[in-house]
Amino acid sequence: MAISTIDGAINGFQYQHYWMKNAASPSSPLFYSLVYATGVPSVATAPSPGMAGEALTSYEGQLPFSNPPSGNSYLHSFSSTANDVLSMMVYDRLWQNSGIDVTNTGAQTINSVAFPARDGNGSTNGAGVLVALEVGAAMGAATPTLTLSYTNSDGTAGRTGTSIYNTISGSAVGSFYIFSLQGADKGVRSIQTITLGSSWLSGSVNLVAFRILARTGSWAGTATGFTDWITHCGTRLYDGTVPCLMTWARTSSSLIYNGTFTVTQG
Amino acid sequence: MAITSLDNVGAGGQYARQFVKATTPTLVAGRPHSLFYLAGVPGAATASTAGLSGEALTSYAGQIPFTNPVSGVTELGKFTGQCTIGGQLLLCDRLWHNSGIDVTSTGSQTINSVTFPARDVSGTTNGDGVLVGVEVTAATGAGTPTITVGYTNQSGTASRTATNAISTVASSAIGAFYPIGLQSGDSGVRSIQTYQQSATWTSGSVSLVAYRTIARLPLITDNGPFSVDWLTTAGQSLYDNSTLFLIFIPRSTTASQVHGEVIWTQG
Repeated sequence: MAISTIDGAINGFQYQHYWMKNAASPSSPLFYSLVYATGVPSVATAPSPGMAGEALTSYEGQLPFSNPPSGNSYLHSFSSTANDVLSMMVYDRLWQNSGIDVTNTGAQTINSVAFPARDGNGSTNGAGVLVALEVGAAMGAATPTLTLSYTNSDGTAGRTGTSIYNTISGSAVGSFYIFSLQGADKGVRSIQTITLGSSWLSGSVNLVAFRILARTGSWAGTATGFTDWITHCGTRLYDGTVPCLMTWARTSSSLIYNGTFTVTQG
Repeated sequence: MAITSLDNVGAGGQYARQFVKATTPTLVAGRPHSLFYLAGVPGAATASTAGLSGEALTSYAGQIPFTNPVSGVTELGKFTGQCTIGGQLLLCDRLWHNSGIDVTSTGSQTINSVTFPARDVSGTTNGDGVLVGVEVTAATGAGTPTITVGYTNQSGTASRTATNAISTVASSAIGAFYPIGLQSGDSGVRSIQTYQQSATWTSGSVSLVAYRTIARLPLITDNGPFSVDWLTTAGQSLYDNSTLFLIFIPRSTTASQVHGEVIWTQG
C-alpha cells in the first residue's frame, strides 16, 4: 500500500512528537547536530562502534519512530521555532562510526559496513546520501582541511569530497561538517578513508552518513516554520528510519529550539 | 497523465535533492552569480569545451541530479533555500552552453547554436521563456565590455539583438553571470547567431548559457530560510532531462553559505 491522497495522509497519522532542545555554544554559522544537545529527545552518547562503523536502525538521541504494521511511512508534518533566525532539518541517520585519530594526518581507513537500505529510493545504493564529520567532544585550536574518499551511488570507487565549509578552531560538540560530492555524483554508498590536513590537537569526531528528510525554519526570530505531507510532496520514511535533528544557525549564542514531528502510515 | 490535484502532488513526490555550497568568490550586490562551478553538493562543474555552437544539455556533471519519470510528467514540488546574506535564489534549467569565445575580440563572433532541447516553457524548441546569460568560467581581466548577442526569437524571427542587462565588471570572478536582455516584443530565444563585445575583457573565459528560470526564491532577510511549493509556483514543469542549476543574486558582496533542497513530484 501507499498513501496517495490527503485523506490517506490524515487517516494514517500517528501521534505527534514534541521536541525541544537547548543547544549551548554552537559554532556559527555552521550545520549543527542536535543529537548531543539536552532536551527532548534525550542526549545521545557519542558512538563507539569503531572505524567501520554501524548501520543504524535506532539511536538513543533520535526522534521516536516505529515501523508500520503494514504499508509505508511518510512525513506528515515537521515544525520548528527558535529564538533566532535559522533552518531546522530532520534527517535520517543511516550510519556512524568512531575511532578517528584527530591528530593523525595520514589517510585513516574506514571501509564502512553497508549502509541500510534507506537512500532516496529505499536501496543501499546511496542516492541522496551525504556524509558529515560530527564533533563528539570539543576540538582543539586548529582548522584542518578534511578529505573523504568514498564510493558513489553508482558504485564508482575512489571518489573524493572535502568539507564544504571551513573547519572552525575549537569546534563545539555537535558541529557538523558536510562533505562535498565529486562531479556528477548523486550520493555516497560507502566510505573508504578520512584524511585530516593537519592535526586537530584534541577532541573527538565521528563520521555520519545521513539523508535530509525535511527542512523548515524561522525567517525571523521566534517565527515558526512548518512543512507537511503536501508541501514536502509525501516524503517517504523507510522502515528503520532514525530521525534526528540538525540546524543551521547564524548565531553562536545558546538557543532554545522547539517543534513537532509527525508521521503518517498506511 | 498530469498532476492536477494536491493528492497527486503528495503521491508523486520524489526524495529531496540537497544543495550545499560556499560562495567563496567576492560577489557583487545585485549581480547574478552562477553556483555551477563551486564545490559542494552537487559537485563542481567543469566548463564546457563544446565550441562556439555549443551543446544541447540533457545532463551535465555539476547539475542538481534529476531523474525522468517512469511515465507522466514532472513538476516542481518544493524549493527551499537559506543564505547568510539575503537576495534571491533562482532554480534554472540549463538548456545549452558553449565555449570558445574570444574575450579579447571586439568583432562579431559567429555562434550559430545547435538546436536547444525541447524544454522551453511549453516543452518545445521554440524558445519561449528561454533566456541567455554570459557566464564567467575563468576570471576575466581588465575591461567592462558591453555584450551584444544576435539571436532568433521564440517566433522564429532572426536578427534580433540584445545587450547585457547588468553592466559587466572588470576582473569578474568565475561564476559571474550577466543576463542578456530581449529585444522589444520578444519573450524568449530560440537560437543564438552572434556574440560581440564592445571592448576587450583582456583575459579569462566565458560561456554563453541558454536557460529557463523554474522558480525564484526571495531570501528577504540575511540567514532567513524561505520556501516556495507546487501551489505558489503554479506547478512549474520540469521537462525530461532537465539540467538544474542555481543562480544567486546577492544583496551584498559578502561571501556566503547557500544551502537548501529541491523536491519534484511526478505522475
